[in-house]
Amino acid sequence: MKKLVTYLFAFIVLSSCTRHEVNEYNINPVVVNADGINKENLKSSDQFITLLYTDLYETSISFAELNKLQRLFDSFGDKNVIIERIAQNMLNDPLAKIPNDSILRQDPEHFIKNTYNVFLTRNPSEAEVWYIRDLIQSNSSLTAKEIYYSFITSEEYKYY
Amino acid sequence: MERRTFLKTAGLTALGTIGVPYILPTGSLFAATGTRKVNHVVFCLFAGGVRNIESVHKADGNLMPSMLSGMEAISSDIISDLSTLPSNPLQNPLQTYGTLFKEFRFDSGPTGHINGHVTAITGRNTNNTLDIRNRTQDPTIFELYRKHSNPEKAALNSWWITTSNNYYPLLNHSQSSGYGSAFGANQLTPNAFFNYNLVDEIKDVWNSTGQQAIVDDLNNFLNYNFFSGNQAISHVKNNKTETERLQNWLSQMISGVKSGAYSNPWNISGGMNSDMRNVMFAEEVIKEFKPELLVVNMFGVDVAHTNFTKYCNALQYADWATAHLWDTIQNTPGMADDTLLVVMPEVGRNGTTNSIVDSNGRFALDHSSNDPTTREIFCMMAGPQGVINQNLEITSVTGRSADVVPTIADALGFYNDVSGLLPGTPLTQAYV
Repeated sequence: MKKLVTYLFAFIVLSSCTRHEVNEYNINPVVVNADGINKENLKSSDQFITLLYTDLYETSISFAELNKLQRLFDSFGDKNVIIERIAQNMLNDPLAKIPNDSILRQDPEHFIKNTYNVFLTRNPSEAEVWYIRDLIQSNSSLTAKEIYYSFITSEEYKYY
Repeated sequence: MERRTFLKTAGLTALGTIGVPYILPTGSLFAATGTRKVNHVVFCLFAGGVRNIESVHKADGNLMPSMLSGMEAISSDIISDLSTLPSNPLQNPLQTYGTLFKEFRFDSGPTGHINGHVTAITGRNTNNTLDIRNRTQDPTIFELYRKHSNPEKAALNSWWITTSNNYYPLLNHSQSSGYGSAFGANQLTPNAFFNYNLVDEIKDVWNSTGQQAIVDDLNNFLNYNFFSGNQAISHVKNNKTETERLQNWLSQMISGVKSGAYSNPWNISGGMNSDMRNVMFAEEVIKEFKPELLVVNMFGVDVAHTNFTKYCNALQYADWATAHLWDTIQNTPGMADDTLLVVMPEVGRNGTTNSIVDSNGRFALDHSSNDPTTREIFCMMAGPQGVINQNLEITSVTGRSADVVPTIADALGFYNDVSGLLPGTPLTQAYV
């Protein structure tokens, strides 16, 4: 009987408890998927340039610089062509925050995860980590700058 | 197998063997069926709003001596404020190399610049519901050309060269189902892209460390699983080989801009205006890529809203630039004697003036839909002898701006495939 009362008590307590999430900042929860399937909206020219600048320089773009780059971006129809040129120029800029290649070699997994989060705002899947880590380890002269370039010129980076 | 079954199977197989090659990758059942009249078309939108009164009717004299025959003297009150341009780049006025429709019409739709451009480029009339901030619903001439040509054409064959980045770049393709960016034109706004003060931002070329193949592999890997089919409309794309060719050409052009080679190669006293610069860079595209279809616009004459004399001056610049364009076409191997040039303002201007008066006492001109003069424009078609009637003037009301797209389709041999989509008809009066 004592056992029965204990079980009954435990059942009532457990079944009456519900998980309560405290949303102190009133921000909607965001699920970060390991693929880009939810990115369906094309970034506008100002969105693309602003984000690219922030991702590479870790600071906001000035209005004058945004205006210049937006004019260039809008003046060529094949966006891959203009993105390639803008990216190449920014990546050649010594002020761009590109990790040292030694970091790439020491901890490729950390570099890969960080790069996915910086540019694609998501975590990579296991397969993605595996593929890029293998690419890094089997190509000793591959640089962080070149990997950044691949991410910036990817289709996924054009969408949000 | 029974004899009847054998014959049936063999017959169907034979029919399929014959039929399958005619189903194109685009999904259309048959290849383009028409015969080409020329292999290249350049369409110059002599835009910004030009009245027939000042152009082909020459009310203030021949303000377009490089395009129009005649020595009519320019009105004495404005002549001192007009620029002196170099002599005609052509031996004879442009109209002698083709057919001039003096009484062409923009016959339907609001008489705005964008409405005029949309009709010229889609072959469809518009109305007040046109959303100028979005791509058109109807396919553009670029998409019709690329999709219905046989074989299907690459983007490098079609170009849309526009004077400004405001709205007009969107005309390189529509959002029409079955067409869209996959069949769009390469769009270029040279006045921005080749601006001396901007090119430093794009002057560096990727300094390949020999890792390009690996960079490409990584890029392909990143792209491989991305598209879900729900993505918003993208942009025109060139394939890898074409992109490399484009990048090399852009690097050459940027070097030229930095060296001053494009600052005033036409030796225009006082410098080239933006119309001339736009046409000059269109000519560079022509020389490098020999496109089968190129559309270029101008806009300087729109100063007529506030200054009539400057409008007349801009008309002279546009005239000279158009003649120079034809000269370049005729000096470009592969395009000489095999190109149709179509020249047309997108809209006219009002018959009545507004209240703004210039220093010569001339009143300015707007363009309103309720003024019939705004619908009066001209169209000139220059082309090879034996294809286009030379030195022919058609003075009766003939043709409308919605006829230009069918005319281009006819010239490039695919009109039969798109005639059902278009309200206009080819301007056969110009053909021999």
